Amino acid sequence: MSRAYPLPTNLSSSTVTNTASLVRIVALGLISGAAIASRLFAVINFESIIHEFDPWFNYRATRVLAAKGFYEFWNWFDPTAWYPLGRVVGGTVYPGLMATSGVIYNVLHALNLPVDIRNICVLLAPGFSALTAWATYMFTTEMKDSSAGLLAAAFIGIVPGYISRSVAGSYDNEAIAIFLLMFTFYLWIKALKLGSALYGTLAAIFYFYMVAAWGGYAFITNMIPVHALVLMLMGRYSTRLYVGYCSWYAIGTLASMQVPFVGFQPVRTSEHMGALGVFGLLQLVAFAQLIRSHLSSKQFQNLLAIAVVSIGVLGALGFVFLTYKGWIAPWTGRFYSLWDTGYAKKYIPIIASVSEHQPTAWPSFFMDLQSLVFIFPAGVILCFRQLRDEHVFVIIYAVVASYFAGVMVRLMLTLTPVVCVASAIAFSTLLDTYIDPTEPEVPEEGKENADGKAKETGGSAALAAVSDIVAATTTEAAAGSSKTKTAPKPKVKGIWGLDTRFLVVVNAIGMLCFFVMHCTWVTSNAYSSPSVVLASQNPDGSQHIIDDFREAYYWLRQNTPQDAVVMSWWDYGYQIAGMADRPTLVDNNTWNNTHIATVGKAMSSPEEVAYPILRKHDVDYVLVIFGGLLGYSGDDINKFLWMVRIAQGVWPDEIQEPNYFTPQGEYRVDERASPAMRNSLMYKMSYHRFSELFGGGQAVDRVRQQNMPKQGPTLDYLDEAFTSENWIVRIYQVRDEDVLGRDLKSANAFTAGKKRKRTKPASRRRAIQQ
Amino acid sequence: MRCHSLLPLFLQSLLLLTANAASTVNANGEKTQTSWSSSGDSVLVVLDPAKKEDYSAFLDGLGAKGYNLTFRSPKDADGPTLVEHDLPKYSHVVVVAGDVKTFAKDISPQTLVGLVSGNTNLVLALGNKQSILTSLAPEFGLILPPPNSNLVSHFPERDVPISTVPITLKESNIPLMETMKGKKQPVLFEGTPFALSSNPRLFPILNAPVESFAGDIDVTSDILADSVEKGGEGLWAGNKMAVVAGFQAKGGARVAWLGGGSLLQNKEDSGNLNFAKDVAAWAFQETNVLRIDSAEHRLIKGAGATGNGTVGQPQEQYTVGDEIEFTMRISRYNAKFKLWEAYHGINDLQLEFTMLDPHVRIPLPPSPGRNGKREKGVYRTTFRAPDRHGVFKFVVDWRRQGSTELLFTETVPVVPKRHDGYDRWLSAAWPYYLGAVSTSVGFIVFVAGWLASVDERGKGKKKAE
Repeated sequence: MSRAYPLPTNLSSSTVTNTASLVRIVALGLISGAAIASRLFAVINFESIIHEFDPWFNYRATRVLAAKGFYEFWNWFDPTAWYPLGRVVGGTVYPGLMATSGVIYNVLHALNLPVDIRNICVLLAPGFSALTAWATYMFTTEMKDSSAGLLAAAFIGIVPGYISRSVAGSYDNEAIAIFLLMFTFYLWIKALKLGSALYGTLAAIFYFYMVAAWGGYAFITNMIPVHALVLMLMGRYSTRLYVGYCSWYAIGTLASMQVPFVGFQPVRTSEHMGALGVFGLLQLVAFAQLIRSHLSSKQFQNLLAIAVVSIGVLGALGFVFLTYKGWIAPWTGRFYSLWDTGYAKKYIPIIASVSEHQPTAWPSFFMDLQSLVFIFPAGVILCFRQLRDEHVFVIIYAVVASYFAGVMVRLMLTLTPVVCVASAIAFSTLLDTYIDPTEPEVPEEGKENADGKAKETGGSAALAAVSDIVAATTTEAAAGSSKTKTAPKPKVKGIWGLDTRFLVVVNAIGMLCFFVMHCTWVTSNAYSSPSVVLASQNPDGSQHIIDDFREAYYWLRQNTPQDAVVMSWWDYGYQIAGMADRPTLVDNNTWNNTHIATVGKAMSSPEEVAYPILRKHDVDYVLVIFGGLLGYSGDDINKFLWMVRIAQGVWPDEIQEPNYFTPQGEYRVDERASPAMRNSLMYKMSYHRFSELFGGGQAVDRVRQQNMPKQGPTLDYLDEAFTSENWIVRIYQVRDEDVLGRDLKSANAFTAGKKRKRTKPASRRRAIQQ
Repeated sequence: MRCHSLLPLFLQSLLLLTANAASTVNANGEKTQTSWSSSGDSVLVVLDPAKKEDYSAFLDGLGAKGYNLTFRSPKDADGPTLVEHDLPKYSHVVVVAGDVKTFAKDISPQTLVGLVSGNTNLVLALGNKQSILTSLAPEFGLILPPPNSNLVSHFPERDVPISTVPITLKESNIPLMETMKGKKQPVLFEGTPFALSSNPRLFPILNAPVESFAGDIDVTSDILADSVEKGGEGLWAGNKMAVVAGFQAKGGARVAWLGGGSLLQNKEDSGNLNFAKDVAAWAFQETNVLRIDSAEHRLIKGAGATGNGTVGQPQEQYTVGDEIEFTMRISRYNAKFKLWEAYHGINDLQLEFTMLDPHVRIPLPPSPGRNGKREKGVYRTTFRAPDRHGVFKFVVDWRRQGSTELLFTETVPVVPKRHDGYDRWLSAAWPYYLGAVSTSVGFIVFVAGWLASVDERGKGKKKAE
């Protein structure tokens, strides 16, 4: 056997394996370090601060958990959220994230390391990303080998699609959920491979952790049954599958029902019925296998046909009946919006109004995955070459996650791990093939053969390389895959010479380098902004921090009574609760559409309509976000149409979306703005005294690029209480009722010195009824 | 919001009884009062100095009740100011317009409304000319007849001019009138009547006689035709109009509107002086002044039993289904003795337990006594917290014309039961208990049987081999 380059021959095999495992450990350590380090841009560029919106609630809940203990957290009723409805936090939250931080906090404090709970929360996501890299390594190792595993770990460690949800400070459920997702899948594959009840149980335990941590657990709940079902349909039923699935399902379902927020959903909602159905089917198949071993094949076939048909019909009827009676909840709106992207906009505007629920734009695939998005299909195809049970899993996962990632931006997160795994398989196969020094034996006709099959060489050689591993893995696994006819016939093909190898390997390494550069750039520029603090650049290139949000929230905290109720659009609810510590009407836990619509109605109505709503809800302050001065486009005027739409959904007679457009159908805020727009509370609060700021010059709204009228709107029922430095946050105080019982508009006119029109006593005569 | 407890105020009033000096500052640094009013001693009288003699009886009466009177001419720009450092300087202000047309600049409608917001009581007597008071009146919901019209009545036939109308008090006016009680002398009125808008804070104290109307006294023939043209047919007539009206502002200030200064003037053989005293007593918060001394709620029965709260104590939060007791103490001001005394006389008080809408609305009756002891001024009721969690408000909102508004709100969260607050054993769950037990027993039996049969199976296998 000739070689392209010499290999050292004087090494014992134990030295090779020891060195290899040492290198693996060091590589994993470095990957973990890279994964953590690249997520710290946010801390270095800004500060150790909780990001965005939802993390503020998680942070606040974690503080309660750390301060009062788990049972108090479980029974925590938050009277400041959803005022005056309140929120039963303990029963409406996935406590996994808070519990994790709480445990870490308590362990560190038991070790006399007095770490602040905020720093634990900020650094939890980077920490767990290192674990995700490890879990992905384990998972990919099961698919191919440890070198592919290391590549996958490196990919997931720095890929922007995952970093976007796990930078330091992004203290959200996804921070730990992706680790749990990958680790549960790894355990499931292990349970399936070994037919081990132990691994099945471990998978169930981590599934429980996942259920406690993230609403996206339904992905696992459906992925594993689909995998099991496909295996059965492929005729790959085995006792390994039976043991693995049943132990996972039985224990996992019972465990998941212990989470208060989930409760009886696993047996009552449609999303969970797939898992139950596959569980039932497995019992039937297992029973059929038992009977088959006792009956002749002819009898068995008849029996099977009858049983399959009757049980199938009975099962379907039963499901329909239970759904009809309401014992099984029908599919939720969020579920329908997965299949019909226009559904949410039509029926549940509150879901459609969330930016992360929008369909994904094509560029964001490249942005989040870079070259992996091209290599990923190759990895999936390589899975077909061998098609062991676990490869079927990767294929299904790839197909399902690709679809979902196309429907919703946020589901890009579930696609990212499988992209990393499949790309790593492809990449490592490529490298295996081209680094392998073995030169093919050259028979006479070999040359043209090799030329002709140049395209296939990579794949075929990969198969040759993989077949060794296949032989090495457990005999059971080999038995499982023996039907797939993947064993290649020893043909003469391969790679000759160093130059070919060199070219391909350098090219591959170049791609990896560019991938690293891209990831670093995207992470530092796009995904590390806390969005609580904004940054801009001074003319000299230095960084200018815009800190209006915290300025305004701290103003509320220090200048208003503890029980002053603040109304704002729901986006800012968690931040107000977290930073200003004041009761809010609505927040980012959008469970009550009517309450949100009430706020939308108040914002989109004229003052005199809005005022009774504000009084009824004891509102003391109203907070709006206004970007017109600075050009901050995520402000309330740009979100205003969603408020109108959501309010219209509940009060179609009072609020109509078309009224807020000009007759030409434009969305304008200048002189041509429609009367409904100009009279709305939101418009008035945003542009109150705005034109005065320009000292007689032309006032310009920099977000909408429109010239504002000289005479700005006036407010009768609200007083301006606070406006932040760059006018991003404006806070208004709701005025008390008039001391003389007049409406505030005429009271204001009186104070301004306007004469009232003479009134007459009401006539006591009535018109004669016709 | 919590009301102050009764005790310090009670002590203060005891002090008052002993120290009968002019306005002094007592040891607590609180201002003690010398007048009968519950809200202060200082009175500013805005009155034309030339006319002061006409009002001497009324003003002397005020002085006798312990008020410190300060006088100011309506046109005097440098007189004592109404507002000092943005705060009202006097507790009560009397403005008699008379025939003054233009007032000093700082006496404007806006200032007067500002005084009301600052809890200053006003007595305002309209004049026969257009003045600040005529432009202020609409803000209070008074609807004045066209300028220069007076109350006119041809009945009963009498010697005095038709514009001096004798008005006899009706029973419905009496509750406010302590001095007028039992005295049948009519009030002689000379001035402008007014109609009242639907503002619930405004109410008539003295209505015009049913046969009276507003008209111009100089041209007697064209009154009706005129008023048809000016303001509609015959609208400024009849007993729907008032000549004296009371207004209770938010915050407690009281305003008395008088159709003419004549009601305060010295008039022989009339009830005017007594009537003016009564109106001033009401306006200066001597009579019908109520106050909530304290309000508290406590747990009677409920989650406290499971160790979640203390029965018999006020709770920071209640659990759904708790029995809650609500107690309120109300007292009324006694002007003669200048002290607050427990008041047992309200029979239509209501308590609401509100979250957006009242979930509970029940009467809050005067307590019949507890443990054999009489409880004067105590209003008590118990109710069950609704089966709905949220932030609830205890609301007592009692508004009656002529009496101080009683308004009390306090928020309290009602929380769902704790995870261990439910019953441990439910009869409905017996099938599940049985299921769990039978499965456990079955498992143990199966394992035992399996282990016991290991040897036999081992033998069987060996045999087969």
